Amino acid sequence: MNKPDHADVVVVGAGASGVINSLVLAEAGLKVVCLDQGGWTQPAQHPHFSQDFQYQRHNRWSPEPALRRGADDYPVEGSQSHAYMWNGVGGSTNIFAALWPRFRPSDFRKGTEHGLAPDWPITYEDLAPFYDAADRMIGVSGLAGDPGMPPAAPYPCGPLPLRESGRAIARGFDKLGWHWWPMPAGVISESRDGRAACNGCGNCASGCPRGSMAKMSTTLWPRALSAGVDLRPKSRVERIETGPDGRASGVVYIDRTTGDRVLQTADIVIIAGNGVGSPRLLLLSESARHPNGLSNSNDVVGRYLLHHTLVAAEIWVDDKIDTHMGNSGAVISSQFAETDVARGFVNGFNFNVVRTGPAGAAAIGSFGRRPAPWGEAHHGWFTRHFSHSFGAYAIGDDLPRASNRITLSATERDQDGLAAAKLHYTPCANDIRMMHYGMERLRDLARAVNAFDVAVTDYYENGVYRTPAWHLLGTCRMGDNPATSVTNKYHQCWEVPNVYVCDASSFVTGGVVNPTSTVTALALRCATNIVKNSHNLGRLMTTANHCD
Amino acid sequence: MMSQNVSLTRDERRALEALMDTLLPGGNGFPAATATGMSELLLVRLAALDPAMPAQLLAMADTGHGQPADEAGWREVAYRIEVISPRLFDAFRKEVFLAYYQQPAVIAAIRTLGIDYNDKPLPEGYPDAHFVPELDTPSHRRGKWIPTNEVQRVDLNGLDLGDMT
Repeated sequence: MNKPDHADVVVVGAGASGVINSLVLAEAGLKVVCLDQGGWTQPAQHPHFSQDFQYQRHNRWSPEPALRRGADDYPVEGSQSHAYMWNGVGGSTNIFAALWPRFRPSDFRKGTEHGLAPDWPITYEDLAPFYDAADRMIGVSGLAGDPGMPPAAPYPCGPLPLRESGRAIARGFDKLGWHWWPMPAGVISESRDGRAACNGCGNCASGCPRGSMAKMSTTLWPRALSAGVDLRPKSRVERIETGPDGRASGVVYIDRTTGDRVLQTADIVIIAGNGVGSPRLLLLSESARHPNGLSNSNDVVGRYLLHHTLVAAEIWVDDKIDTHMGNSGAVISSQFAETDVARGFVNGFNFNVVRTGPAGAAAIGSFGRRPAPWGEAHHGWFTRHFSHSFGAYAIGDDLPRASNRITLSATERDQDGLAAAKLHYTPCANDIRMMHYGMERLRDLARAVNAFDVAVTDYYENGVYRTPAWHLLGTCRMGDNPATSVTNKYHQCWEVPNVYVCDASSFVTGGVVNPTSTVTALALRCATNIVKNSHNLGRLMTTANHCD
Repeated sequence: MMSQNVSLTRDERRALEALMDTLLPGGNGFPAATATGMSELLLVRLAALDPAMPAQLLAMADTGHGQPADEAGWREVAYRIEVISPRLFDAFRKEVFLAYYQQPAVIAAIRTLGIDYNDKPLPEGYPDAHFVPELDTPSHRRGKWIPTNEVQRVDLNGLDLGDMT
């Protein structure tokens, strides 16, 4: 086994959290190695320059590894949820929509509010300065002053164009008397740091080869490499090693280029592998001392998987609104974000109103899950419908349940022989009520814009809720209580103090928004805390408040 | 696309092409599927998706008295596949639609509708749009959020939430 030089920190995963942790720690002078099982995705590899770009979205550029069938991926077994992710430098920012709303203060206080989920061990106020700082690092675009959110620093870039599609939607919300606001986005509206401003190409779903979106391989990774991070793509970590003192000594990974096994020792291990990959790695790291997997004597690792409740509608209006143009996110509404038990459920949901994309997507019904008719009616349908629709998601805060979880597959393996992840997820009664309520409100929105057609989907397939699960959350949650969480509020594992888990698996609840802005804020907070303690890396202990 | 992956007789190819045109006949200024020249591309994609798919479709097209002789007969075939083998039909339709809407003749037809439509997203994009503050800034003052220290316990009486494990 190869044994390169010892590092201060080894980071597992080169996505949004991995790059921010790596960057901050390297700029603080620490020797950082970052490992990712996948490779680089070069701009020319994106499908944007090819006429078959819509076909590629359903094959090699599918967000679903099971369809993509790439060597960098690992299987996710299970018939519930379509687990979406990208394994490679930049992680899932290679394929995300870069919607960038923040959590709300109440999202951190669901234990106080109803007790069906715990409080986070941190508050919105703890995280707010890191939201602001991460936004500045990344170049977030938005309009300040949303009365539906706490005051915050101005966005570093002005809002993206609302376009006719956004204006049509806004008129509907105004007619209903509902809140709306231009969607904050991890997409630059003006050129910055050598990156070109968004030109509204309309294909955010397959990433951004221009570098306008916050695709981390083109935004922060160049800076991290300049800071001295030793990034090693095609390096699949198979386990975290622990020493006789119970602390992690490093990781063993497979160099997927040479096939060699490598032991990378380090004072600190940071796992940033997403809500499936991070618990998978802890579970793969079982040993005589940790028979249930690393830091899992309480059997919490992998549990409390959250995706968000999701229902959606494609809504067609008479006006031609060109929804194949522009960045994905148009408008957000937090009208129903807070709990109102009079609705019959706890928690709430946001509307994410998005553009619906190009002609092929319209024909196959990619948003509303209702394909265009075939035969003689097809072209009349297309002429009437294409360029006349917008899409609205009702994205809700699902309740964390122990039975929704990631485990290791007993039968499936990745290409290096490591056990695949197995996913189990079913929505509870509260989630289902919220979804039904959300669908009715989507129909209200359709009526308010005088829609001539609407397709509402609940994402059930043959009786099974199979949500498009872009959001993989909660599976290594933080907390104040070692019995019910995996890490403390600084992402340190309770049982192995020099192992940190920092990504969306750290979430305690899912909020009502896309998670990446919160992932980046948490990562910045995590790294900042490690820097504060960098004089003491080898001796850190896990307590609830070691840094306060 | 490489054509050598698809091994079909002339009659089999004609049958699949008839099925393509049944799903997407010409009309409203749009060409029929095969008139765009998409046949070879589609057949390769079908074989890549599932090498058995062309044979499955052909088997479904055989009514026991050979293949249909006219458009009405092919429509019957398509309906039958849609009802009996919906997954096969869905997969076929999706591939037909995606292949069709990347064809230059179809993109030209979309443009005749008065829609500014690029054949591929980049490099051109659609850059001629801006946020117009006086038009696009919300004038409403709607919206609320609850400060951390004002989050209150809600009354769960009356909510039967079932199994929460």
